[in-house]
Amino acid sequence: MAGFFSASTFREVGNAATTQNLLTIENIDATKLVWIRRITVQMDTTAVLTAVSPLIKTSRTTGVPTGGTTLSKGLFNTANSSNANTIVRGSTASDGGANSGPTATPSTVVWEQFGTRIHTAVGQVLAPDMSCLPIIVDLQDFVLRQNEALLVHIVAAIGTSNPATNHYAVNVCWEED
Amino acid sequence: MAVSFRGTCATLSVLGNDATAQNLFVIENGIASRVNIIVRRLTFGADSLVALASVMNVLKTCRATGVSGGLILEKGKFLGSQTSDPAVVFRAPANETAPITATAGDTLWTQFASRRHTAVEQQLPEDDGERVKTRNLLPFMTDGIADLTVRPGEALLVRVVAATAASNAQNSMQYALRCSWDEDEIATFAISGTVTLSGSPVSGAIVTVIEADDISMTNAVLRQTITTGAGGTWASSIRTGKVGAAFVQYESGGTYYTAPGSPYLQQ
Repeated sequence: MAGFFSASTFREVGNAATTQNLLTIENIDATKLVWIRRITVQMDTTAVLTAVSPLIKTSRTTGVPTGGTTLSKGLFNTANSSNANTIVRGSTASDGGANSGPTATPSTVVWEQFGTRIHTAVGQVLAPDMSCLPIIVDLQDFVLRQNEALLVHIVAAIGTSNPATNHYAVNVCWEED
Repeated sequence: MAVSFRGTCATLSVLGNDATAQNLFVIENGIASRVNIIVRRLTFGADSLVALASVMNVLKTCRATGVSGGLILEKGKFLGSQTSDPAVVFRAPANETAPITATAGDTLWTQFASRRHTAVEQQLPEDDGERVKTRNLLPFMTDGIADLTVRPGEALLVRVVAATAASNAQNSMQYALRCSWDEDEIATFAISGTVTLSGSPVSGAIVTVIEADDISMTNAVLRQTITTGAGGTWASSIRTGKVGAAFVQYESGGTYYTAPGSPYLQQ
């Protein structure tokens, strides 16, 4: 089962609240480890926001996430198969679809990143990769043991900073024991 | 790893297709290939000419089946002395005249494209020098950390998924994709023979080589057809762990000949 795998959320829209869970990845295997190698988020905002951008935080969780949409896992090598005990969840089952979780309780924040915003609605809008973990995790092991999980979530100053005109895409790449 | 070729490939500028779905680029490793493709870098640029105030479209990288159509792209070389396996093929659409047909599998990576909220000021591309944050269609990681492998008979597809047809407008969106890859040689064993007729070598005979998973000819594929030279000799290769079979056909002066080769060729 060892090997590299990846998953992407569908395009997720802001929920007009100050918190929103975008993606979780969990390992519920008793013996196998999961090493996170890359997590990125990209964002498009179509409405003007003159207040502070929402923060995108990556946290370990208290307990294992539930709910949401279980995402399909892409294989870096078809000779490998991903462990069924590695589970990736997003908030929607279609691009721009209704949000329904996942449910997770954040504990320690391990990384954070400001999102993007447009102060005025003019000119070009870019959606570069924003790292949700330090990029060194491709070489330095960031480990999920049994019943450990990572949560990528929005923390907005006010609900109007995270309107339905915000759009998110989160990608994760990991290695399995 | 035995790298036999290291190359690059770039599409022409591909226009949007006024639809919510569009296949942009395919990396295809034909079933007769003698290499695994290791994708090292896969990125794109997008230029949007017309203002778009709604959400930009996304590009998704996924495995794919049933690939056909499009233009076959040229393969650039890192080293002029190396030769790419002919079964390694890159496709891009020739806009409306030759779209790519493919069935998308599980998504590996997603990336927003680009838009201009209003048509003012400079449109900036992102350069591959900004490797971490550029428009990666696969996760950016230190080279060699994770080999994204495309085996013989497999393909990788990059496609547009747009919220509305307007966000992928032909008169606005243009895409340019580029890829670099290594070809990792697959272990094979050699097979060869000489075609004779009444004890004399035959030139111009056609030797057909078949490769399969087992002696029941499971997943049999045409490996090669070879026309014998003056000495009647032929040579080919079979992937280690697979089974080969060869047979001969020959025509001379209106007389047709055929001969079974040596079936179930195994190492």
